[in-house]
Amino acid sequence: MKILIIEDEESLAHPLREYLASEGHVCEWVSTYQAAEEKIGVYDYDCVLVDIMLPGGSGLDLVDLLKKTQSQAGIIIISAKNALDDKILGLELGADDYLTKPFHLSELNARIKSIQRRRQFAGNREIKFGDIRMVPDSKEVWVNDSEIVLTRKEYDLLMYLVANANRVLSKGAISEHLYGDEIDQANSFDFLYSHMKNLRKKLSEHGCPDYIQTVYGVGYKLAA
Amino acid sequence: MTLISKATRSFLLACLVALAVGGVSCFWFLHKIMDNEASEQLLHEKEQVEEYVNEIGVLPKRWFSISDSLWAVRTHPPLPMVMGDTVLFSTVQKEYLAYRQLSFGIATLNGYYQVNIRKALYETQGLKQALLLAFSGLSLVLVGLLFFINYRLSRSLWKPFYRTLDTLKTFQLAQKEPLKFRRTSITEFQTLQSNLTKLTNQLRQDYQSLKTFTENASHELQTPLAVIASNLDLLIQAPNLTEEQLERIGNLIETVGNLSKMNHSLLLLTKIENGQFTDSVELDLSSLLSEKIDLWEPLIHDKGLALHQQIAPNVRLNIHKLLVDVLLNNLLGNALKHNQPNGSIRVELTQNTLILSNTGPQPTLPVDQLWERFSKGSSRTDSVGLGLALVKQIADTYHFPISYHFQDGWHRVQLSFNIS
Repeated sequence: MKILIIEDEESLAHPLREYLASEGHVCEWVSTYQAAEEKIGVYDYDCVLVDIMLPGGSGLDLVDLLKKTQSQAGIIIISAKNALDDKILGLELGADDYLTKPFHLSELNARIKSIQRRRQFAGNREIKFGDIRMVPDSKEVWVNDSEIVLTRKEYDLLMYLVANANRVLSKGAISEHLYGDEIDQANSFDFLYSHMKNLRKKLSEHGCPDYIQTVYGVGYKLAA
Repeated sequence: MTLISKATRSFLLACLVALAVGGVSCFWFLHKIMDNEASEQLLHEKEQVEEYVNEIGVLPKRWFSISDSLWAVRTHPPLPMVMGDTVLFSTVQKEYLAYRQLSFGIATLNGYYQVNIRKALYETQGLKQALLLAFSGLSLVLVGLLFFINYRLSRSLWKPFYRTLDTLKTFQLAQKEPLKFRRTSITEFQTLQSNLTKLTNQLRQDYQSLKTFTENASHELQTPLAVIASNLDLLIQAPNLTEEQLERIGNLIETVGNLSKMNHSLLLLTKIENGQFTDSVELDLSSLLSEKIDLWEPLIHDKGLALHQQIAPNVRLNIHKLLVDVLLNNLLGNALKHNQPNGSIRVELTQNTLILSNTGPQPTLPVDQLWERFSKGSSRTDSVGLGLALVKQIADTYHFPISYHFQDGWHRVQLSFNIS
């Protein structure tokens, strides 16, 4: 996908670019409102990441502009403000998602994948990893033609792992994806262990190889 | 004791003392004067008798021209003068009456006589009683009147003061408007009001800037935290990392995670304080609580804890959805985190109260510090000590009384809602 990053903080934009590039995306980066306006006017993008507070203007206006000119682009707002009003306004303007800083790159990756999936109308709606086959529309999971019944959290966990396959995921990133800021880290890690244990058990019961590797001291990695 | 009752009480006491001293001494003076008067009259009559005897040589025949009660007794030797009081029974009034009697010896041509002059005292006693009565009556009326005037005067004098106090009582640090005192014409109270206005304005300003600082600091922290987090996320993807290096990075990721959670909680606290969660809706707390318990239950069982729940149906509450989420999550999370092996958790919801109890070791913190920010009962690094501060802030926002007790190995948090 072709992605435009509109973010005034270079030290944040840099790892974003690097990470997304390693996922096979083509990334461009601008740091001001004017530069973003120009880019949007000239090129077409599949996805735009936009910060709200920008030198020269508000990212929300860019969302508005994008919606008027390029309705095809998926839009993800990245903001330091976890203000509900901004979130609602951004989504009302037509943004697809809203991420509050600080966020994990794997979370951003999962959201971009989800946008990508939504844009791939028609055709292949399934996600495959090794013997695992996931159907997002019906939230079904199949292993070797037998369906596994997962709880909602287990499904979300597996989806997150598959979206970030072959990458090391920290416990913090996964538990934040599952529980947001609602639950503090100590308890959410406990939740994660418990879900992970159950997920592994269910997968292996259906003859699925153990793809989930434990990365000592850090977290997990889904690898074939 | 109020200012007015204190002043009135002192006034009353002073009045009573003055009246008692004045009344007693007045009575005493009156008594003395009348007493002297009686003695002097007797002596005067004696002089008249002596004068008569000196001129004529014998006792006068008509006593009544001198005194109403005078008699003479013949004696042999000359007698000294005696003045004394006596009581005599009156057959008319059927009681004993007081008299003063003067007896003196006198030499006449017919020999020695003892002359006795008697004077009734009971008449002056009656007079004294009447005077005393009049005096007391007058005093009472006077004191009553003074008391009333003083009370009314104090009331009206202190009225602006009490109004100022009432206004001051409504003061809240977070209020947006300055305090508005009612104008008064008394200089001292004007000074008081202007100083209070200055003081409270300063307080509000300081509080406001503190809040703004917290909010800005938290906001400004988000981007650097995002930079650290994303770089760390990249770093762990690097190939050929040793286990030791991975563990170190893992530690960093966890710490950054804690830091951003803490930051998030601080921001949330500030927002609640700012009253940014005003749009409450009526929610069914019973079903919300059940949902939360469903979420936490697997973890509770995973930790080998027993869960008892007693949830009254259809408990409705006007509250913000996000805040009630934070409240329940923190309470449940705490009950889980500060539990013990084979312990239990008890959740009770009635129409008016939510009680969450859990077994656990004795708290190391004094109860009154429990609700404060960053006060931790344990040295756990994964707990920042903002959870209960959030709970308290939310309870305070809705004026729900909240209390904590530890008894017989049970921690018990009780939240009451005034359903009105």
